[in-house]
Amino acid sequence: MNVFIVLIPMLLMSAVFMEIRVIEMSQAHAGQLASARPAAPALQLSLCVRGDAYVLLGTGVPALSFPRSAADRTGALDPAASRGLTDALARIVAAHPENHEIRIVAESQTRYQELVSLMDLARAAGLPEAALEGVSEGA
Amino acid sequence: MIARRQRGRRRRWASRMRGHTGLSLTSLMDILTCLLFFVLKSFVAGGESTVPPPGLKLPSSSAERAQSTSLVVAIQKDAIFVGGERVASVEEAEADHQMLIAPLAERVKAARAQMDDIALQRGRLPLKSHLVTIQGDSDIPFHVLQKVMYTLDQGGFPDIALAVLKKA
Repeated sequence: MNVFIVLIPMLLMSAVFMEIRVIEMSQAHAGQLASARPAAPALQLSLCVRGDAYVLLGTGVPALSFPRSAADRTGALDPAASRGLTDALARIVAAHPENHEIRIVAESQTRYQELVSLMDLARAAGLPEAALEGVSEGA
Repeated sequence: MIARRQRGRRRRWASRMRGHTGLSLTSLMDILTCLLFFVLKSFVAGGESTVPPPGLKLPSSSAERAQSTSLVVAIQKDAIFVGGERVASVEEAEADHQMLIAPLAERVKAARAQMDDIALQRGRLPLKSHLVTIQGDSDIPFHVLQKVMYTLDQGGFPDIALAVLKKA
């Protein structure tokens, strides 16, 4: 009996319980095409997901490109790309502390997990307000 | 000699145990106490507890914000659900060149009207915007998510929360 007394709490403690959290988004930006977006703050920081690269763009910020591997497309961001993006975003946040927004411009086939991972990176770097946008046709 | 002693001991033990075949109440109480503490520990006070539909794998994230009460739209690999009811197939939504997913828009508008009616019956003014939570499968492509978000916006749900699994 004593063995069971120990086993039951141990098994229950080792069980995995899902903890659901949410990322809140402002629909004012989300779901719109990049070309249809209204006027944005001065910096207009964007993280574009392209075929083989992540490209950081912004007004007065030199364009930065980071390689995007096949693993990144599944959502498990490559540590090197992840580190590079985090460092670059942190540098931009330090230079523009008033800006809290970033637009993540995704391709139509970009996986949801990859977008969530990119939003996590942006939030960790100090950009909590992420908006999702699609690449306009022909862009 | 030793074998006889062992047999005698076994007989004495057997006669003592006769009539004590049930579970020990003390041990049972110990188990129940442990379970009670565990349930109390894992109980989440406040907040909303929602379980994603079976087969849906939410993306993992480092987000910390807790979920609040809202309409839930689930996007599985093959279908879109509103409040547990299947409203459209992902294949149809992908094939359609329009951004608006018509069956989803209808269902969402009905949900919005229902929420407004409930608010009026309770003597409150209908809210200008309502929150909706998207439980999307981690593998869905962005254009499906984008269409769903656009449809929700058009249906009167401009505030969107993306449900994710907290990273361990």
